[in-house]
Amino acid sequence: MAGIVLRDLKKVYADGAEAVKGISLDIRDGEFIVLVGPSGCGKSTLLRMVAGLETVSDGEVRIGERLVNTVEPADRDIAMVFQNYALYPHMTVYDNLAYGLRNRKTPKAEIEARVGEAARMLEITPYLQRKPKALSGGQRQRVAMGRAIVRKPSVFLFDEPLSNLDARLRVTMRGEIKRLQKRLGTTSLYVTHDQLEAMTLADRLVVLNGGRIEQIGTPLEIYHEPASAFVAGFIGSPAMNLIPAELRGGRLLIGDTALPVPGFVPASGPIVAGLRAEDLRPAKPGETALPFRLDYIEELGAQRLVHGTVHGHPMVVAVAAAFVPLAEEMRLATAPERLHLYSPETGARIRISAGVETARTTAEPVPA
Amino acid sequence: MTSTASTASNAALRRGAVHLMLAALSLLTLFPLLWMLSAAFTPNELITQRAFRLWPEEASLSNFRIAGEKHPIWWWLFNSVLTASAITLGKLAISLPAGYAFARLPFRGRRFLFGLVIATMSFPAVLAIIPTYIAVVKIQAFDTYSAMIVPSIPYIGFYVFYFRQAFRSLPDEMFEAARIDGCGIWKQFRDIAVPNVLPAIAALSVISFMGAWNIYLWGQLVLEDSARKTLTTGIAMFADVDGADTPWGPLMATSLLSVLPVLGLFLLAQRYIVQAFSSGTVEK
Repeated sequence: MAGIVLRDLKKVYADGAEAVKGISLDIRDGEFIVLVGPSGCGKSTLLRMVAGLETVSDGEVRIGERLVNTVEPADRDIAMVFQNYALYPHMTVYDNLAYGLRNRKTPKAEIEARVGEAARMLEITPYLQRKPKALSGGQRQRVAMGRAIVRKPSVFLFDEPLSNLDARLRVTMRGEIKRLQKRLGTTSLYVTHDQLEAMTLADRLVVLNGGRIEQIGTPLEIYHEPASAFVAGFIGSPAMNLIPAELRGGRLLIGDTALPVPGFVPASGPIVAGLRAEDLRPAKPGETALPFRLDYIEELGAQRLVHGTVHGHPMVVAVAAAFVPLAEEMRLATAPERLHLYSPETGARIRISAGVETARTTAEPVPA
Repeated sequence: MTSTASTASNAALRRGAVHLMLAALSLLTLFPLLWMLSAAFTPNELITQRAFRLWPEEASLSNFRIAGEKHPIWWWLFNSVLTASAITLGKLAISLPAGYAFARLPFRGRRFLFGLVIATMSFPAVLAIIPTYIAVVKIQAFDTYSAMIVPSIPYIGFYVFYFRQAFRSLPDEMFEAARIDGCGIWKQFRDIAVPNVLPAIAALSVISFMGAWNIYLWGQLVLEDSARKTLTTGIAMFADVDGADTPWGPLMATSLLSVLPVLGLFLLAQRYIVQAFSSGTVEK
């Protein structure tokens, strides 16, 4: 077992394109870290640099105590699960699992024992003599996991391993990966663009954007206190509502609605206000409220998502399944402490009664 | 209604006419082959006395015996199999690794070198015959198997191109998984790449074998000793030696011998050949 340390890691391609722009990250032994971000954010490149499949342009990759920048993938004591499984089509499932061990001159009896154990763990024993072609997507993914497990590596690397599966199977496999990782206690680095997958699997999440880290934290920390407008808009389903507003005299103006701000805000003028869909509710009579024009309703079963606009800006509200809007015009209220504020220039979070966050945030232009 | 019915009957008529024409053309193509087959089993003295028969009245193997007494035809068969196999193996031994290198290994000048390989495809092989012949004589390889085999191997532009396409169609991740599994370049080639392009290898092997089997001009130039000739080059000796009294029966028997192995091979590998050239890629 081993942790992973990344120091100021950079990847610049031959054409000058910078995929990873100086990333530092400490992953503890046994930790499950999920790298999440939109496509092109550098998450796969980062994972591949840890695997040794991509060269490091600058910085350090350490696995355990060892600097592995120039170490061959086979000698890094890692195992990787690929999105398209990357099984060897001409080999049986047994040979797929055993191949890496044979290359390492592992004794035959031990290969048999390890393959048998992994197959039992993943419930693929009946398929050991089949070729991958004769397996379903889910079974193939299990074989790919098995190939990683038999190696007994210090680190598991997952590159969007569930993206090729259908929605239902994805949920099942998600659970299995989590269970398996807990049982084996192997340090894991997992890449996905699916924020729900990221939230459910991670001990800690690393949100990436444009080759840089936007935020590191537990899923709940990131959900409740997104460090930037980008994270706020990326994590959570539905995404946080972000709406241009103005801070004036300790009050937040959204259009002509003035909401109280609980505490001191070290800023004034234009600002971006963030409101989670579930933090909005229909206002009681006499309460300060935002005028909401209803557009359409998305049924989710347990709740309904009401889509509409506030002062011309799109807004989503999560309401109980029993709630029936009586008119197209509604009034929405929120608890002031549920407000999130972001700088319109940098996208950085503005802490109420604290100050502008300086670290870790470089910003995307804030969506208007 | 009437017009629809007449259109339908017109179409049927047209289709019938096309089929009739195709049948006539295939008969035209098949006729020499059928004649060869029939003549090969007709005793030699009867061939010129009787009109053409689809199958001889008294089928006999005597033509094969006579041909074998006149010329070392069984040696020719052996030589044909030996040279065609060796040429095919030689072509594969060079073009498979070359195709792999062009497909998967990044190296300086790759595009330029590949361009050169492709350019060889437009080079008429006939132009190389005289210099190659001089070279063969100079290194005292005249009238040897090597003279037949070695100079026939390097015409592999198409093979390299085709294998490159086949290797490129394999997913990158499979090779990355192999790297993590501890495979170097050579093992990735041997254990992972080659077993996954077997249809392409089968198709090109058959094509190469058939091409090598049919080499005539070069064989006539460099093979002199009768016992070293291949079937294709040896058959000519029937006509050369016997002049006007060509023994048609034994000649046809030997011709049949030269056609059957290739025909059999083609039928066996037909599926791969069609697959290789219709899809343009190999099985994933």
